[in-house]
Amino acid sequence: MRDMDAVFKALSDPGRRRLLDRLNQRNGLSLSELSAGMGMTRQAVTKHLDVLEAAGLVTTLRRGREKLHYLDAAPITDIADRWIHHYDRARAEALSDLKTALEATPMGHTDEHTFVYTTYIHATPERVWQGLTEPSFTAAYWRHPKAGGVRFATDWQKGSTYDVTYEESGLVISHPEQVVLESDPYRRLAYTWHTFSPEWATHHGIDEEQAAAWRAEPRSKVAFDLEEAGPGVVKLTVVHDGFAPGSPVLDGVSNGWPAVLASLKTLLETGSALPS
Amino acid sequence: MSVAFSYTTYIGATPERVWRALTDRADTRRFWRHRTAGGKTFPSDWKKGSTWALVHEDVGVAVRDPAQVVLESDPPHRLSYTWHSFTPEWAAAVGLAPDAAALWRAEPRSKVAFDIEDVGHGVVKLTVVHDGFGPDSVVLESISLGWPSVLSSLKTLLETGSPLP
Repeated sequence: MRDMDAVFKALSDPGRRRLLDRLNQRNGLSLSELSAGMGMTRQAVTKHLDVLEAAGLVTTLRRGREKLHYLDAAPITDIADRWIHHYDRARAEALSDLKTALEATPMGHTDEHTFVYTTYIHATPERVWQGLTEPSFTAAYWRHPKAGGVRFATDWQKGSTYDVTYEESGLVISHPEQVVLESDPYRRLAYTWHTFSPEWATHHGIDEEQAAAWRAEPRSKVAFDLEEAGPGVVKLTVVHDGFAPGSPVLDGVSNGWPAVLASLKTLLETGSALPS
Repeated sequence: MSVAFSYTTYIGATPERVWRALTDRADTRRFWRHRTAGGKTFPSDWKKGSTWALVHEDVGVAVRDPAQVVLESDPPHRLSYTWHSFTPEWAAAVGLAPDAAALWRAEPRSKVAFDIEDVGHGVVKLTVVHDGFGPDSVVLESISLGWPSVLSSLKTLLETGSPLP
């Protein structure tokens, strides 16, 4: 663990900051070269360099009788990560949370066009991604009482198509518009929703008249955002949108998602999906 | 814009266990936590018409108000109560600025209802509806961000024995 106090203390002096700027312009300078034009005595520069070296901001290498000074920016990068980017990120997340809340509150409730649901899962982002994409996972928790467990057949590359297969019934739903829209592993996945084919309707116990109405609607899309929200916890946000106002498909997915996502969470946390 | 928050989750537990988790001190303080003020407990006899208190034991803050009332109590099926007051002590404990707390306090008092439904195979469907907000409510915004985290941790506690870290 780096001593941050030493780094901040080293950076608190304008003379030392000028020495760092100098090394940032030209690395590997000797004491004489560094002292030239600084308006400081050699002794003062030597003292400053000792402080910078102790803080890990400067390293030295001997070349013959001379000691050459090199800038080590790692502590400054650490500061940026810890004190600047972190705050930027927190603020950006707060804004994006607020935006989500404003655009789509209440969560889990459907407004006219969008379904939004957030859950927190005790797992790594890699595991949650696996849960969303790997057939052995989806078939375990994403189940329809009649059609069985869902599997996605795709390489999950942006622009690729996907098939939905139901192992128990052998049903396969395939369509050139079933496309992966975004794929940023462990962070974000988005795809267009599947087709409500006549076979799909039969296997799900939905009459053809209703399925035809669903089919006549615009094809919706779903996006999954995975964010680390504390040690070992992932915040998973599901946004399913692109529906027409008053959409019966939206009603359908709004009833389905909480059960699917609850079972995903249970599977990742306990090793077994919720019984269905 | 709608003036209600609703959220549904499914939990591998009995309705009695879910009821207990929502009302019992030993459970609530584990999964129902505030970042700075710590675990919450809700002392009450949970009878219709009774009052309830919000207590942050870790920081020694208690919120009591005769308007914090149990509206419906049908164990282990349905529980409903009016929301707590936003006292200055509470605001200080949760890190809400005095001016913001004054805005929260000026809003109508909301209420929350929990429906616990046995859906078979040892699974319970828990639906939380929090409503009674005014238009453009900042309290609604805040609770909408808080409930998913609280309810996720409740589910994890009942299914694994430990709340979310």
